[in-house]
Order: sequence, then structure tokens, then C-alpha cells
Amino acid sequence: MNLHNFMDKGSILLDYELKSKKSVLELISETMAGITETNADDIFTKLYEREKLGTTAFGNGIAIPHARIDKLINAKIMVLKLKTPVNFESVDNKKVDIIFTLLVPDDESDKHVEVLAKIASLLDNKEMRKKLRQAKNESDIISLLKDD
Amino acid sequence: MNVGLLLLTHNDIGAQLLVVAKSTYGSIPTRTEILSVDHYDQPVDLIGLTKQYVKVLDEGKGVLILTDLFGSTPSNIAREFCNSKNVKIVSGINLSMLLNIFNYPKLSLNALTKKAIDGGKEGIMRIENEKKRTNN
Repeated sequence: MNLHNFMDKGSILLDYELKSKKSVLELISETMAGITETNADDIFTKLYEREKLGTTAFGNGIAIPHARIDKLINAKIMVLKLKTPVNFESVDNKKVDIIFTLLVPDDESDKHVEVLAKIASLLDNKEMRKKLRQAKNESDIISLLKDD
Repeated sequence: MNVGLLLLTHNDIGAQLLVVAKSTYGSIPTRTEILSVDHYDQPVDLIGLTKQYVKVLDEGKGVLILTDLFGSTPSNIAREFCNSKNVKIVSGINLSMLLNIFNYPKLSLNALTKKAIDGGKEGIMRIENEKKRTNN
């Protein structure tokens, strides 16, 4: 499984300046809704509900918001890099600057967790986090994901 | 790096306990995911899902699986991981257990497993009228 296969044109956003976890989730919802032709409010609600159960900011400045979405046809990943890290209620209290979002069709729970595990293992790698932070453009990110 | 936590329970038991724990502490100090089991689910499918969740949650210190009724489907699914070196399983999840775990997020898997059991047991007691008890 290669993560870049779940990405589309426009699913990598770099150097954004956002103030809060909520504004991050709003930007993700709007962007993903545009890519997947689903409803931004539905995506926001699902992502927000998941965050209410405990943060998806798994430490080291990384967050992986994830949800299953009704009417979504294919699983999608979006990468967002922030210029200034934001508070994401992370497990280690570190602010977050790299956000991988995963949306999966409602009936594909197996794929959901399989792709989530792949993202988590990728981002647990210190060297990979360093390279992602150094990435300057979309193709740098795609190359990193392709090489993995 | 902390031990990860998987709440493998009937329906929304795990989710609801987590909502209360989060509102008590404000934030959760460990990677936590929820796998809810209902009567439509096939245990064999959920074993695969649990395996993937363990991968998501294990940063290198292992994963503690909390489940509800010993001998029921969620605990039987969890039991499949008894021999995994990076997994410990505790049944009888309650709020007291969960809060005790979140009090000690830096502990090793073995030590945290003990805290889970202690916290769970300490939350179960007969509640009596304090005044009456003092008088007696």
C-alpha cells in the first residue's frame, strides 16, 4: 500500500497560518469536501466528534484526524503543513504542525484502520518527520510518500 | 512515548467512558482508539481490525487493551492477543480504571496494567452513610 495513491491534486497544503484546532479542522473539511464532492459540514462533524473522544494528535507535532464518511466513494488522504504549530490537545502537549487527514467510506472500517496504521507508522519515524518538515513543495511530499 | 490504549467494548461503552474521562481531565495523555462491537459484527473481522489498531497505537511501549465483560465477544477478541509481547489485556473496564490509567501515562506496559486493575477495583465499593458509619 502506498499512501500517495490516496491523494489528489490539491490534497497537499503547505505553509498555512492557522490559529486553532477548530480552524485547522474547518480548512481540512472544506478542502476535502471540494476534492471528494461531499459535504464540508458532514466532514467537520465527523472529525470533530472523533476529536471529542480524545485527540488524534499522537505526539511529536503530528496529528492524524480520521473519520468514516457516508457517501464518500474512495478513501482520501490530505496533508497540511502549518507555518506556526497550533495547540491540538496533543498527547505529549506539543503543538502540531503536520496534519495527515484520512477519510474513508463509511462501510470500509478495515481499510480505515489499515491506512491509519500505515500513516501512524510512517509518522513515528523521526527521520521521516524531519524530511516532511523540510519539504518545500507538493512534489517533495509526494516523493517522500512514494519512497516509503 | 507512552503506552497506547485500545477500548474494545460492547457498543458505545468505551466511547462514553472516554468522553467523561476527557471532560474530567481536559485532555487525554495517551494514544487512544475505540473499537466497538455490536451483534452484527463477526469476531473474525474484528481480530484483523484489532491487529491494525495495535499497530496504530504502539509507539514502541506497547498497547493496553481494555475490554468489558470477561468471556464475552469483545474480551474473546482481545484474548487472541494474549501472546503478543507488546499487548496486555484487562477486562472489567470502568471509569475509575480509565482515570487511574490517565493519571500515570508514563508508566511501562506492565506497570500501567497493574494501575488499570488497581484503579478498576478501587472504584468498586459499598457506599454508606458517612454519619451513620461514624456513629457505629
